[in-house]
Amino acid sequence: MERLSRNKARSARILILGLAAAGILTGMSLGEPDIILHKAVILCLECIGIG
Amino acid sequence: MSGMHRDRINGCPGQHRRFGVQLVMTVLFNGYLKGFSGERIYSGNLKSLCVPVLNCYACPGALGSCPVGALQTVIGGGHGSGILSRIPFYALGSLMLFGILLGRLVCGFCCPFGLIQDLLHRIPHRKIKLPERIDHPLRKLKYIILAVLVLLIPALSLNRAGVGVPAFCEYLCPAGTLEGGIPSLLAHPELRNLAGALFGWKALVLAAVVIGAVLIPRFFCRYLCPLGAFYGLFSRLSLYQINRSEDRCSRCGACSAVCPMTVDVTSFSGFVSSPECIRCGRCRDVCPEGAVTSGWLVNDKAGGCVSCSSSGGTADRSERR
Repeated sequence: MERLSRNKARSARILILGLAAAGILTGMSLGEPDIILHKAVILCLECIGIG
Repeated sequence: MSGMHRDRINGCPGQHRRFGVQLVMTVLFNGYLKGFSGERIYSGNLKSLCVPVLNCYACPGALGSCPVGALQTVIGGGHGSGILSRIPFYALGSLMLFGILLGRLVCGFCCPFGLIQDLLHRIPHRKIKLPERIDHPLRKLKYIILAVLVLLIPALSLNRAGVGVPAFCEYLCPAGTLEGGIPSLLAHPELRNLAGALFGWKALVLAAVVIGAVLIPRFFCRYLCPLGAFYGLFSRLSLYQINRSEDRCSRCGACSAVCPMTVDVTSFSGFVSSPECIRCGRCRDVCPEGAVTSGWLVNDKAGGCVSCSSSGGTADRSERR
């Protein structure tokens, strides 16, 4: 039973790692890092409470 | 009993090492020193990378992007047409990667705001322990903040600029006020005239969190942090784990007594898979029997600090260390 549970956990980890990698690659292909960069290099007035 | 354990654990080499790592991580994530001298904030390509911690990208020293801010930015839209442009694949993928590899180890070892709370809690003052009937429901609040302020409101609202409101950053995040707002207002006097009621509200939130952290360990992490809520979802699966051996445990309760997140470590046999566990290792360092260990799944390292152990400690424990 414990071995089955470990196998399930290992499978879940591999699945999540795969999804994470797929997400990162998809986001990069859609230009998401550029969107984040554009926001991050301008002083975020909402973040610092100025609005 | 808990006070005695707390005094011992604070002097433990394992906790000194953790403090060192926290300091290094804080400097690493906020290492752009020019930003503190009134120059522009860092605008290099590193800022397209999401750091694993809550670290406002408006901080003058910030070298990377806050993942919570990144999520709200993309979800808020205004960058392209179609639903795909508002799904944060990259930010979410980065968070999932951090979550599965590290889990809430990020909270215990890497987060600058976690370090600040740890330091605040060291201020000598009467500490508060909330009763379970208040503490347990309050722990759900961070999940509500994640769902509503970080995900729903940016997706469904529109501000004057025609993009979704980054509700967590704008109305709640005390890390943004402390790391971004206050240093920015100090470094750029021309901004001070713009600080109005919103800054007043955020300063109030920051004050409440600071007072909360003095009284209750990791106050923000327990009740309010959406990033901790997200990483907590990976607690059962993350590669770094705290492990309790039922065979070695004497049920003295020292581990639970020193836990800053009040996890009942003795209720776990095997992995301590509580979503509240921030992997700080205090339970490992205080355990007199070496029953609590920590490490990556492929390599469990024995813990148990000899200097913190009871007088009945064995030589085996020091050899394992």
